[in-house]
Amino acid sequence: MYNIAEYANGVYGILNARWKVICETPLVIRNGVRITQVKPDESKNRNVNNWFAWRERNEEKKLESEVTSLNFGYEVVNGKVRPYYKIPASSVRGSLRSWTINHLVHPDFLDVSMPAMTNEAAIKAELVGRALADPKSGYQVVASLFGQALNTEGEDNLSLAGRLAVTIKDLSGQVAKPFSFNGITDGSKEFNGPKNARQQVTVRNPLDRVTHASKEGALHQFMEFCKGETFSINLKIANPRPADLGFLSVLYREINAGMLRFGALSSIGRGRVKIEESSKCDLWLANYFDKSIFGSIHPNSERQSDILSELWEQYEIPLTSLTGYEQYLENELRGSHGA
Amino acid sequence: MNKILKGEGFQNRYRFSGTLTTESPLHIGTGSSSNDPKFFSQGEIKKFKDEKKDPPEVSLIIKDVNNKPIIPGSSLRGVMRHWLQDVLAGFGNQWSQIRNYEERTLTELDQEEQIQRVKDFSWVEFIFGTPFHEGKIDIWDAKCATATDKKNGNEKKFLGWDDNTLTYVETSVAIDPVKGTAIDKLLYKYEVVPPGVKFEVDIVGQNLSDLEIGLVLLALEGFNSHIYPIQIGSKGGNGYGRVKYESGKIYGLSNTEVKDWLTGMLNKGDKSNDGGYYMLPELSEDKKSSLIKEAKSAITGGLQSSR
Repeated sequence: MYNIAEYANGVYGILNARWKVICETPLVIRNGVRITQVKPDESKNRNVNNWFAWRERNEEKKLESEVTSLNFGYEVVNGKVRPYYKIPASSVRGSLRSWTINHLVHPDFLDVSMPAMTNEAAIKAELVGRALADPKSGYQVVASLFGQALNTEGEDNLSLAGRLAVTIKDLSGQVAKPFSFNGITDGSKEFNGPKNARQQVTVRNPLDRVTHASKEGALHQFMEFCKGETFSINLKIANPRPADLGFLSVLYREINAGMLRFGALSSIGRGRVKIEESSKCDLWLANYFDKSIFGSIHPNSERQSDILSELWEQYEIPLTSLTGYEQYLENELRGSHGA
Repeated sequence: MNKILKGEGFQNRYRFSGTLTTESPLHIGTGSSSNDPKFFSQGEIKKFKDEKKDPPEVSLIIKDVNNKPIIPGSSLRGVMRHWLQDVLAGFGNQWSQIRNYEERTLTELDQEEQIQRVKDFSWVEFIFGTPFHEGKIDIWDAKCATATDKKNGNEKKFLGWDDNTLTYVETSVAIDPVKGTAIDKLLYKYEVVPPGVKFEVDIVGQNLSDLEIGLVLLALEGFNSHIYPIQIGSKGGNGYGRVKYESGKIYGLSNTEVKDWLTGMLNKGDKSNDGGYYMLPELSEDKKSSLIKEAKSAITGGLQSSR
């Protein structure tokens, strides 16, 4: 699985999984930005008739409080700047990496997956070297797919770019959607923020463990994407092997089983998604490459036009056939390379 | 096929124009960073002061003298060469080869011998250059061609958006896979160019054969690949750096057309304010497509003959 000279002979193919994903539970992915919630007056209104403003809170105004926004970015469309909610690919990639480390890396090598601090670089390099030398450590899968960054140089350089790239096609288009606040549609008097996803604001209230009463000042609200929101995850694996299809199969099952979740607050049920059955998976392989290592695969009947057509051939991999490749992944982890 | 170096007598000159439009956030860093208060909200600044901490550093992108983002020609050149190298490597050393240019078998040759050896280098090396010869294409810095509509003034109200530089700041954090919590000191901020920003591309080539033009066009279309796209800048593994290439006009002048071009330019007289540049012959869309197709045939044809 792992090869420090991975790209010495170029790139011979791409495994391209395009997953359409629907949120089975609310999803919380933030970027640390806070927006403002405004009360109509000082009475205890239980958040009825509050509205949200896409700006910083004015601390001098007692009627204003902060709410942490969901992750958003900006885009330029026809010369106009427009904010949009997004699921950062780094978040999804991080979740996949975290799952891989926790489930495929032997416990003795878990420390290897931690980022190297400058003063521990030499120790880290030695640990990584041992982990990579032993396929049963499981770390080869992590390093090969997600990459390896180390402060080493020269012939001992163990840094390697990962073969896995993640892109996200963003949340269900740019159609404005209502902003829900505890089921009440907000007036959005000042809200010029993103509107391309249905969001809701949820309240949490920590209780004191001893008195069972509310902790003073701890009541807080947070925004989340609503259940039912959809987006697409595109996984591309360069120079694919059969074990990579086995890896995709395992991810597919774990995501749909709810064991692999995205974003924050998974401990209170957030972040579960489902991959729809209409999702696709293709292998693009250079004409010179021996495709027999993947067993019986067939050219895709719905060929996608691409600049690489005529140089590379496109093969369809039905989602149902992925499980047949899990044995290759298992072989990799056992140290017996099946492919 | 006879390979001609850039300086081996004027055969032709081409200019490829076009645009690159960002389809995902773009970060081409300078290596420098800043914790200028403009990157932070008033609330964050107050928090840093209260906690007596310095604001975190924000990694900056490269900008031009007008403080607008640019895509350096070196970045474009690097990613195009890299992509061609990756895609063509398996089709044979005549197309792409990773070579050690410090080998004595090369460095100890005299210049004449080196020139002869260069002509045996792969096509990717020959087009983009090596320590032994100058490449045949020059790729200019891609200048930003987007200006936002300031009529409604909304841009000033968008949180974190800088309408002067057309950038905003993204935040990422590393999560400990074992503990599931954020790792200390690994929150990092970086400036990005958003999707939808256009950059003007200009590539000039000299003494290019039809095959070499086809390979350059193939590389430019590589930005549009859905399968293995060329990505620019950092964080490609997270989908950053995706751009869409739209071809503009491709002008070409061969040594046999110089006289006609000069005559035409002179006849235009005072009406010409472009130095005669746009009177150069253009490559038609059909010709562009056919050159790419012929390049691909040559690539796979070599594969067929080697089987």
